[in-house]
Amino acid sequence: MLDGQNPIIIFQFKKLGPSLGPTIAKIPLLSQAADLIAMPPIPIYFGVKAQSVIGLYIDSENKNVDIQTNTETMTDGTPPAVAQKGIANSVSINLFGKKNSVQLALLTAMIDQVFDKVTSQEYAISYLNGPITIFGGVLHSYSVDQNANNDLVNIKIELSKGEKQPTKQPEVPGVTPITGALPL
Amino acid sequence: MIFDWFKIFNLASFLATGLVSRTYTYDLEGVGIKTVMATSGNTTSITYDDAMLSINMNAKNPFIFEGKAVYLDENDDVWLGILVPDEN
Repeated sequence: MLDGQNPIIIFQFKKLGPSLGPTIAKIPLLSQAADLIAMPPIPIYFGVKAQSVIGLYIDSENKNVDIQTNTETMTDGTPPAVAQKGIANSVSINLFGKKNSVQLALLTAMIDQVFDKVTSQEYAISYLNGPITIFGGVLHSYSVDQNANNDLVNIKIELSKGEKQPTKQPEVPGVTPITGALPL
Repeated sequence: MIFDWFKIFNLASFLATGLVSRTYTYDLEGVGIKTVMATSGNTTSITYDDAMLSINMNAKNPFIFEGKAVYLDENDDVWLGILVPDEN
């Protein structure tokens, strides 16, 4: 938070290193960890409603943890078995912003960058605002609504808790054909 | 008929997993990134490009259907065949 007062969202992009397989094909590797190269984090500060200095301010936010609980009673009368599965651990932020705000332009640009990396998991988003925090989160949804009657835009961001260590997606192996009546 | 044969999987290894189906994704040279689904039931089949090709169907090896073929070699490797168009 800025001076402990303003909310902040931090975009952290990473680059997963290339696979070593093709370059060191003849050297047996016992294990290969995903090589993460972190890029400098990009913070964007949000204002509070009373301020007019920062062009984005938070209207409302909420944090929601949703868990599916299945309780199975036993035929022999022993205590029921409880199985739980996490569904969501998310933070939802509603913002107002001025159309000509630099922070809004930066936020939109960051979201576009994030979209390209959602499958490779080469990004993380952290959000801090008092008790509402999420560290190393992933983007769940983002929407911007503009109104012709005023110069404010309504922004909604949803962040979910992300994986601690993103794994590199397996590369698709190539296959060279053998041409003929039979593959002999 | 001439085919481009691509080695997809080993039949014995697939059956040893006990799986009913398994999807293999390969970058087939000259074709592109394609998925081949192997299914195990009364017979083992592969599904490629909406065509289901059963290994040794009607005691035919390779089994050919609509320009695609499946062949089981002596090493138990399953090959996907794509018909090479006749140049004439």
